[in-house]
Amino acid sequence: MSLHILIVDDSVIIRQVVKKVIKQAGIDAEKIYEAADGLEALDIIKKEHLDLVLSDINMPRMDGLQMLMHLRQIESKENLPVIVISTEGSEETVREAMELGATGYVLKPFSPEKLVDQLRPLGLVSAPPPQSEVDLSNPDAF
Amino acid sequence: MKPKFYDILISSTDEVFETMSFIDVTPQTLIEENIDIENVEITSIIALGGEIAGMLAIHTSRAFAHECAQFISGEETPNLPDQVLIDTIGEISNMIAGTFKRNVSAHVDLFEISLPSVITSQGHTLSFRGAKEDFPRLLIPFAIEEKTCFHLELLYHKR
Repeated sequence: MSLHILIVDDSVIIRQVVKKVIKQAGIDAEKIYEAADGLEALDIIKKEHLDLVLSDINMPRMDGLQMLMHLRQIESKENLPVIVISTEGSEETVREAMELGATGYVLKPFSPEKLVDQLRPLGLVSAPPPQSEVDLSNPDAF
Repeated sequence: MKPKFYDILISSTDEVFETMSFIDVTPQTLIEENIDIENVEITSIIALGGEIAGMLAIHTSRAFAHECAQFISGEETPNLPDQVLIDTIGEISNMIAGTFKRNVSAHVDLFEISLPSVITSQGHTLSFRGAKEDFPRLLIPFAIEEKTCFHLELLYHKR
């Protein structure tokens, strides 16, 4: 199954880390799109067929919660899995994200394992990667 | 006696570096006297609003930002554009502020944090003079193998 995945974060370095975790987890990503805020993300969401969205909350122009709200109003995107990755960890924010239709929630800072744990129930992870394969401190692992 | 929020600030910073970069940074002695910190090249500021109103900032060098970017991304790149260094320190300050907010929630009612604002230069000097009682300042140097790599600052309005 070749997947189309969208990563939404205003930080380039975080988008890079998420991309590498996806690859290391053995997820068969045919295409990975990137957006720096909710507005950019919605443009891609409307135009492209996507299998998964990984999104930050605190971003300029349009935040991740607003993006999620708009996304769920698009008929064909009702069931698109959206994993939120954010520093925002208050019960209120997590509850709001889940009520808006988030599929999972990962707090920053995150280990690769934490993110993979959220992706596994979606059936997207081909195999449980050994710890060493997702060690971000090892440049050769990528 | 350690000032209020000191331990939470240290543990929040440790959590970010241990999880995202695996860089072992060690807090040094809290700076309480007047001081000038020279040759700062990147300053990232996060505004705090609500029960804790003030700011959290990281003051550092391009060399440390470069090291962080390499460790976080897992890629060795000899030259990185300023935009990547700015992004890296901005994101680190964002994660420290977010973790601090979560960890402090047992002691303080909700407060909000802003997106990071990052200032760069070829070397600016920060002058820290006489913090006022109503506005406590925590200025903590962090080091790698005893060499200072950044200063973390928390300044807030004591309500």
